[in-house]
Amino acid sequence: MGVCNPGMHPTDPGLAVATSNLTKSYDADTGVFDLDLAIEPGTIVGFIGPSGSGKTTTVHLLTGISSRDSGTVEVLGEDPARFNKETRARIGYMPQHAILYPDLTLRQNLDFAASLYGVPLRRKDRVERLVEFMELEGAIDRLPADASGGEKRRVMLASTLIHDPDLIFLDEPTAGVDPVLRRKFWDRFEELASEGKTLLVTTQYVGEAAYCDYVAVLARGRILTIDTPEGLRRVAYGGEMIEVSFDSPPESGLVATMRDLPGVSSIDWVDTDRVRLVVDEAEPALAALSTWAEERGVELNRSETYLAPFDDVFVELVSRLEQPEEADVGS
Amino acid sequence: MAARQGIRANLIRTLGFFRKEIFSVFRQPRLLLTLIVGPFLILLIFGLGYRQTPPPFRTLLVVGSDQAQLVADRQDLSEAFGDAIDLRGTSTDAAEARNQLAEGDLDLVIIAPEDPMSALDSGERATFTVVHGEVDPVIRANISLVARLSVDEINRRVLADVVDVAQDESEELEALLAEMETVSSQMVTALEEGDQAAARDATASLRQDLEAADTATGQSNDMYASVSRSLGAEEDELFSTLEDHISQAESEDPDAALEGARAFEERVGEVRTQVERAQGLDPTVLVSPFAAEVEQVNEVSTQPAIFYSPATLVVLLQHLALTFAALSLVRERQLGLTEVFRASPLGSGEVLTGKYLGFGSLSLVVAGGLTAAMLAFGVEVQGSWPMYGLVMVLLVVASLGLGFLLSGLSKTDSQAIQYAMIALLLTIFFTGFVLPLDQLAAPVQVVSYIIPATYGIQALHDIIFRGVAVEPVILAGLLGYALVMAIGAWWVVRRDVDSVGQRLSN
Repeated sequence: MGVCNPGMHPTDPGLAVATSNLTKSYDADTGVFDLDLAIEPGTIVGFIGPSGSGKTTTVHLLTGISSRDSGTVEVLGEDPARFNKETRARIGYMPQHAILYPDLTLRQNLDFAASLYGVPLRRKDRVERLVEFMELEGAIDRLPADASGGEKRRVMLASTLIHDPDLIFLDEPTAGVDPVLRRKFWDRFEELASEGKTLLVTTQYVGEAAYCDYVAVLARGRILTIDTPEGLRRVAYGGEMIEVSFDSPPESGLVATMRDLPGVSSIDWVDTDRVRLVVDEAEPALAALSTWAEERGVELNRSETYLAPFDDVFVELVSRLEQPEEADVGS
Repeated sequence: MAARQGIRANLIRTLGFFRKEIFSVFRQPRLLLTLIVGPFLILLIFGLGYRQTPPPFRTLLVVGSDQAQLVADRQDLSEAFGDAIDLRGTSTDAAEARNQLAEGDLDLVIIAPEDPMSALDSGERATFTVVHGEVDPVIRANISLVARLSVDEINRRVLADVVDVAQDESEELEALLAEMETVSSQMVTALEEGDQAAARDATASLRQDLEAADTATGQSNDMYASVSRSLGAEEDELFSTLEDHISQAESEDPDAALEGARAFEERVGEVRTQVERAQGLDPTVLVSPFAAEVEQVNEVSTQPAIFYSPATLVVLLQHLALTFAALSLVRERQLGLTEVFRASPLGSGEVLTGKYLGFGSLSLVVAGGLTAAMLAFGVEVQGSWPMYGLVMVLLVVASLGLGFLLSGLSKTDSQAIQYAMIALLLTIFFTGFVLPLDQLAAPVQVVSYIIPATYGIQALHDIIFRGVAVEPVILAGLLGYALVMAIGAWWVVRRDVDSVGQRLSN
């Protein structure tokens, strides 16, 4: 049995995606192994991991592009290997690379994608709305060769959403997209989730984990952990973190007594006047720290909950969960 | 309701592929130029540039230094060689002539026999040697044919000269026969009147004339007899019976003598008529009495440019459709679009129908243009236009199917192009485009019938030139071929497009 998102089980009713021991092996370390997932409708699940960790294979298995070796899988209540056309029409899939006909303009490519999903021919308004949202007005009538990488990605995303799918698989949708538009993409994803759509998003931008309801960390074809973003931080560091800075740094022996505070599991010096503490719960630990400082006459410049950047979280996670393994997580 | 929506979605997907293929082709002006305007230009240049008869061979005649007469008769020889040989001159230096041949200044060197009479005297034929440096087997065959025809013409002319001399010699014979006819008439009159003395004088005179005539005819007698036999007449010695009749006229029995005299008179008249007829014959006709005449049951012009036009159209159309189809699927595979297709509700039938419709429409537009060009060259369609249209449609569908199937074997577009070129090469050699199918051994003809153009060329020849209905076996063959290819194409597209599960479960 693999790792499943907390509080959920693949046999739970009404799931958008449910897998149990899903396995697809290309060789001993390549593929997907013992994948357990239980994804509720209306959630955004991020798949984060280094290249070759099995993100795209997972998407291919869930969309029916590839066949599994073993395990069970249900997507929208059906086995992807036996999807009917109606179910397929409820799914949107954006591949990892921009795949466009070079002889068609971006608009014609988008129109063709609409045809694939049987979108009625009177779809001009729908197309224009997506063009506007994707800020493609100036580029939509260009050939792919004359468009930027970001514009091509935007057309691919528009093509994925053109038929208003219920379940959306996005394989690295923000790759090559500038930070401003990337933010807009995620705003749109959150909007879609709020409309009840389910999104499975792979990415190498670990910072994007913050936008997800759940994040699955993959390495060597296995889910190392799957949790909420906050949960991942806790897993990475063994608890919550607080950061304390001093007006004048006390003696190190005095600082070491912080470990005696309830719930404190470790203390690390960040620089000469700043330490980070790993605690069970941040709120009571901050209150206890305040008392500790008053009792010892230590002046605290600042003490607050510390939210580690997800880049650091993932480095920590991978090194913790895959000890001997080199992490290749992008930033 | 759901079923209607499903059908509407199917049509939208099919239409999507149809439009996509049309847009893709029109977006590529160079491809359009190559695939659509190119065939027009090829047909036009072929029609304008093809020479029905090959250029004459530039020829030098090499004669011996003592064959001045041949040089003097150069004009006659030139006529004997005919239009296929451009006799540039004569030379006595064979080595120099061969040098000119090697340097490409000449196409042929004809070396006359040095001493033809000696060869004839020793019972051998005198040989004209034709030297060339040609490597093309078709042109080599043409040279052999031209050489044989030229020598036949020279032989015919020699024979005509001999006959002409024989006819001149026979004038003396004809005079003797005229005299014999007069004397034999006098002999009959003498016998009828019972004038034995006059009859004896006449028979004596006739015997002398007969002897002189036999001498005068000499070889000509044999010649006439031979010619007569060659023309199918029974063997008939000119003077064989005259001797018998004159002997009978000398009989003591008056009735028998009169009968012999009358028979002699009648026979001499016949012989004289024969000789006069032989004298009047044209020697050139006499030595070559039979001629061949070819009659065509239809009145269609079969000039090469016209004859090859329908076949060229078929080959171009097949190549165009096949290339469209082969490149299309490979390209989608290379772009990675099959991954998108598999995740979508798209079915292989929709892809295939859309592509057949898109490329089929484009191909048929090109077929219409090529047909117009063909008509402009002077080709007249003798048969049924609806049948012509049907053959075009089947040919395009069959060629597209073959293209889709070839694309299934290709991993890259350059591989697909290679397969298309191999198919074109097979088409040129095995479909009757250049060489008649009958010239291929029966087992090899199997190759012919795996190429759609084979059916198309035969069908168009029936419709355009013969004005008859296409042979059912050809039409059924093309239809069957198109269906088999469509099934193969469906298999290829299904492999690319349908989801894993659908493929596994079927």
